[in-house]
Amino acid sequence: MSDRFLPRHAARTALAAIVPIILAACSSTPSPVAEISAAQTAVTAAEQADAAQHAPGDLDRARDKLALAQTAMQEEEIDEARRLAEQAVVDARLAEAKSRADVARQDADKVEAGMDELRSGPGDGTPQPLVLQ
Amino acid sequence: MRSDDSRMSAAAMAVLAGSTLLALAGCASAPDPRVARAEAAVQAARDDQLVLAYAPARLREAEQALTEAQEAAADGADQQEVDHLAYLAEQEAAIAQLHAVEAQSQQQVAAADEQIGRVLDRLRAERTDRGVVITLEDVLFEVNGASLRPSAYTQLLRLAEFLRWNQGGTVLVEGNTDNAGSSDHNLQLSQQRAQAVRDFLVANGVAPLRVQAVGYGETRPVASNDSAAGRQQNRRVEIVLQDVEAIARAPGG
Repeated sequence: MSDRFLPRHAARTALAAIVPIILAACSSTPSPVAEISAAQTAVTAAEQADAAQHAPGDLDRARDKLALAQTAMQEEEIDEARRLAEQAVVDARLAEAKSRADVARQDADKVEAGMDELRSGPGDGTPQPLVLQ
Repeated sequence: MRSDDSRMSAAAMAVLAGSTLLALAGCASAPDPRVARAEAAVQAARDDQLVLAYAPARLREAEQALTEAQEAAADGADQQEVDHLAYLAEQEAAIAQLHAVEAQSQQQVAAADEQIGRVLDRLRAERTDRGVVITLEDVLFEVNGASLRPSAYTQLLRLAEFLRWNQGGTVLVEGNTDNAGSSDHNLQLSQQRAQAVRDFLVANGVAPLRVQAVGYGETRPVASNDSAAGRQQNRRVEIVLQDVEAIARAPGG
């Protein structure tokens, strides 16, 4: 399988030959590569949504399961790896959703407070005396 | 649920029958606790008016996940797999509820932004890189003088009102002139006009520390001084609102 003994010009040919073999191997033994990749993407998205601040527990759970999924895959516990990766995806999405909901809620509360001020004015809502020059 | 058959001669048969019954009972009636939790979570999402209004697609995903878990349980799938699918459904239901909160909040912010936009329109304000800018035209001042004409009052009173109600942020009042006459005179006139606007805002309840007046004379034209129309455009006072909270909070502000 190693192509390092092949002449350089043959490297592309060898690669072209190997890739289909690898792909075939993947499809015949359903390794949860896609699920683990999806979990990584979901964890990254959660991190970017500030989940570490707003939903640390859920984010940690997602990260832990992702790591366990990777270990399980290395140990060829395929079902376990797939389940862990799928759970890492939903855990990360939950963390992201919590974070986004939190931030959006805070924004809305601030804006609502501002709108209340605009609508009713300060304090008891009594108009302040207007002084014309 | 257990077989009570104790006859020794039929012991083997009884054990077999008992365990078969147990297995069947497990499949048919006793709900898997994880699936039951998922069912409760999805039901809570279904009962959530926000979810129905703002995240119906997410709810369907959770329902789909729940169906998969229920079917796996009914088909007697591996317990680990059933628990796994139920877990996914439970999380999806929670995600649906959170998405609904997010969507509703975003809509509130958008509505508020629209309202701020209407307020700014009424103030004849423009959003620029420097902040929100309100331009007072030359006609709002006495000819070659710094006194405000009554026609300026409505706009300035609205602005003062808006600023009283929105306590954060600062107001920079900038006077400008055309290049007719001496630059010293122009500088002085621009300072006096800016000061008159500042005085008016402060007299109408805007905190003095928030409002700063500055004159730029003829140094910042926005049009050519070669035409009368251009010169008129250059004679102006700009009021720049910086970091005023209600504006800054609104997205795009």
